[in-house]
Amino acid sequence: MCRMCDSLGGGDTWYLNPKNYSNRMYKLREPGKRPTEALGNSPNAGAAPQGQTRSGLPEAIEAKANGDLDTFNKIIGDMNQRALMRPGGQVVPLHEVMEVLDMGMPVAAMMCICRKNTRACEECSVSEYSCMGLGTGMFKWERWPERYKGGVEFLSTKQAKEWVEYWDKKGMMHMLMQEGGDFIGGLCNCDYPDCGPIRHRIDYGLYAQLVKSEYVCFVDWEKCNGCGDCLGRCHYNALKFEATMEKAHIDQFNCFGCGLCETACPRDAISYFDRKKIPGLANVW
Amino acid sequence: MTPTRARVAFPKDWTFDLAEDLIDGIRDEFDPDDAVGELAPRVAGKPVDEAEEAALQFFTDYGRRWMDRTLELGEKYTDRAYETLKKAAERTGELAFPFIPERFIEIAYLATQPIYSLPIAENTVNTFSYKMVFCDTITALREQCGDELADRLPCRAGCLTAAGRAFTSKGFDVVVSQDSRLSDGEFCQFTVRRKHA
Amino acid sequence: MYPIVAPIIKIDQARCTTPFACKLCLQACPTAVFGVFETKMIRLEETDKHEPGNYRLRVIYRDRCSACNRCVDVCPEHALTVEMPAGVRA
Ligand code: SF4
Ligand code: SF4
Ligand code: SF4
Repeated sequence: MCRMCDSLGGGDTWYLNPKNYSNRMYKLREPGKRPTEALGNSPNAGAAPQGQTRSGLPEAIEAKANGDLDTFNKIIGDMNQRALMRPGGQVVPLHEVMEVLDMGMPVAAMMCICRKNTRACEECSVSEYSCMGLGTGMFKWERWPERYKGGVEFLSTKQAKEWVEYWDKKGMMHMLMQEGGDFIGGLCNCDYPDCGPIRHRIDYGLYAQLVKSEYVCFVDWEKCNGCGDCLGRCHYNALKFEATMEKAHIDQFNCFGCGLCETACPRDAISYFDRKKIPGLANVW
Repeated sequence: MTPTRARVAFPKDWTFDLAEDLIDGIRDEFDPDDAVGELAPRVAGKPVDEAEEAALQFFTDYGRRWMDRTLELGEKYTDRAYETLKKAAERTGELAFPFIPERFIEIAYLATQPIYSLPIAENTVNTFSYKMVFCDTITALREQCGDELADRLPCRAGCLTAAGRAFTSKGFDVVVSQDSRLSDGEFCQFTVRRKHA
Repeated sequence: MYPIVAPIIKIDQARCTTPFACKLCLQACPTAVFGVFETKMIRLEETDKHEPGNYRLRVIYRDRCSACNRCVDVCPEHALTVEMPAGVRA
């Protein structure tokens, strides 16, 4: 079991448990407390407070860029330890995203914050929005127009499903993100290199931010005719074309079980297997 | 390159919190201490089953009035979260259940009970469920009627009636149940399920 | 993984003033080395991308830079320099 199922699943997969999407709409402010007027993201955000050395990803990357791999590995190791206690995200294949959407929580399509920060993308309408906010908190999005730059659009279950399918076709994998301790607040459509969690995991080994899916995919070589339709869909360096066999090939240790290759295969040659039932992969999250 | 779009700025006086007048208005009328103060003399010295019957009537009526007033004041004092919710419900044709009634249930409890937010156990397409961990009603009952009688009096009738009313008044056909009781354990849990034709 | 020393990327913040509106280098870089962040997030107000200083360009993934100089070439403000550290042979 992945750590989120352990603590939040209640015996089941955590993201299929409706409890993890439930949230209140209102809270009373404690006497004398005012709403926040501005959130700081000052030019010096991330700089170490006086007399302390910070050890986050910026410092790790700086060390690596300067050729100091020992420091890099140490910081990443520490970060992974700390992250085990923190919320994270998990890769979720399309068919389970559909199940999640059937629960009927408020869903609103919005701009992707990773893409905003890495590529200065501006997504301004529902045909461009590539991320989705979940839960009653979305009713208050107007508090922070910069956070939801480009606005949001609430979707019905049917529209939301079509919207996810659209991004799936385009080649984006899906993940569910925790926000705060026990609340799933985001459904993202992600790709490398725009997506922070994917990138941090693949490039820097921060494995706790993004957990692999409950599944792993295998190619049935009887059915695969080597057409190559699945190639180019994988964001995790798991899917290759094996030239000598003329078949697609999945590296089961690299596979995150996102199912993008599965949804692309016209011959149903790729199928999901439960990661937990494969002894050597059951602990590979 | 990316098209330019008008930069949005919303009116500074938009509020996303519940209005103070709304909370105070309901609190003044439906303070659990006062309500129990009204009930206590009616059950004092009565045989238990008569006391139960009197309390059942009292709490059913209290729950009805409490939610009716919350619905009335809640519509009068709106906020941006509610406006967005209504617009989203209209646009999608889906979100009214359970979120519109949920708003009024949250208001009803936030106004009268010693909590800053209502713990929601589930709010999905056919189910709405919430918990009360701290309840002034049971505390007041224990103080004014004694522990033993307090645990037998059906204060749940107030919560069941109020929760049901929040949904029926918005046009939903529901069943409300109490899944666990504060007097037996750590919290009361009430669950509203949608009836399907 | 073997130690490689990455190029040094310098941003002249006095020249690059509205990166979120310009975004040329952000979209030109093959490995998405840059990041752009708003310097302030205000309640009920969207940050104006045309106002100088409201966003700041930062180098986030320096280890992924190859010094291909595509960013340097697209920058209309000549705000960027990318060079190998002194003593590293190109
Ligand atoms: S091999 Fe297929 S299922 Fe596995 S990570 Fe790649 S695209 Fe996803
Ligand atoms: S030199 Fe090339 S790799 Fe380096 S930041 Fe500029 S565009 Fe990116
Ligand atoms: S191209 Fe130049 S001016 Fe434009 S964002 Fe990049 S560094 Fe700034």
